[in-house]
Amino acid sequence: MNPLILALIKGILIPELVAYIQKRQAEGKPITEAELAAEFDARITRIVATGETWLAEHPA
Amino acid sequence: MRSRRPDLAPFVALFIALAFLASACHAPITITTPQGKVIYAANEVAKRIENLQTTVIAAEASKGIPTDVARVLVTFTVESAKVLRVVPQGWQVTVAVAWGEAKKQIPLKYLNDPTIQVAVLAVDTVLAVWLPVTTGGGL
Repeated sequence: MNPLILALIKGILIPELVAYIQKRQAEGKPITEAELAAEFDARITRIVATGETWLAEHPA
Repeated sequence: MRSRRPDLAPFVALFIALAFLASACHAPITITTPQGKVIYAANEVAKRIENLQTTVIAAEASKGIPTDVARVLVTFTVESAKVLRVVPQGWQVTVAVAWGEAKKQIPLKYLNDPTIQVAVLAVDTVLAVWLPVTTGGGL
């Protein structure tokens, strides 16, 4: 099989499918807007902290 | 005798990928307020940007891509995250333009490198999904 197709399946299709199934399963335990906002804030903080640390360790 | 029919597999895979990503356009039924839907959209984009950052850092560490290339992409992830935090309701054009500028700085062979290709494609796709139609979706 074409390596690009394999990469698409492994990198996008499977994670998206898992996320979709989890989302459907979670319908009985719905995420609140407050939880979503907290998740978003935590993710952004993580991206900035990780990225700035890496950039400081790899200066131009 | 082998058929001369064009190989549609890449297009089918891309269609399925787009379909799954497009499903991210619909917030869960519990997210009802406009503000909640804004945060949901921004969070979906942030997920792909975080995945790109993780992938790029790992690819650089394993010498899959040069440090200079990784620096461009990691800088994009940090700056985009800051934009998402400050203007979660209006990040689209800023992030899409920054993504286009970042990609211009990177030789195609690295954008197509198997170690980061899927993460790059995921950002391309999620931005295309969430970019307002009025901008022409130009990436």
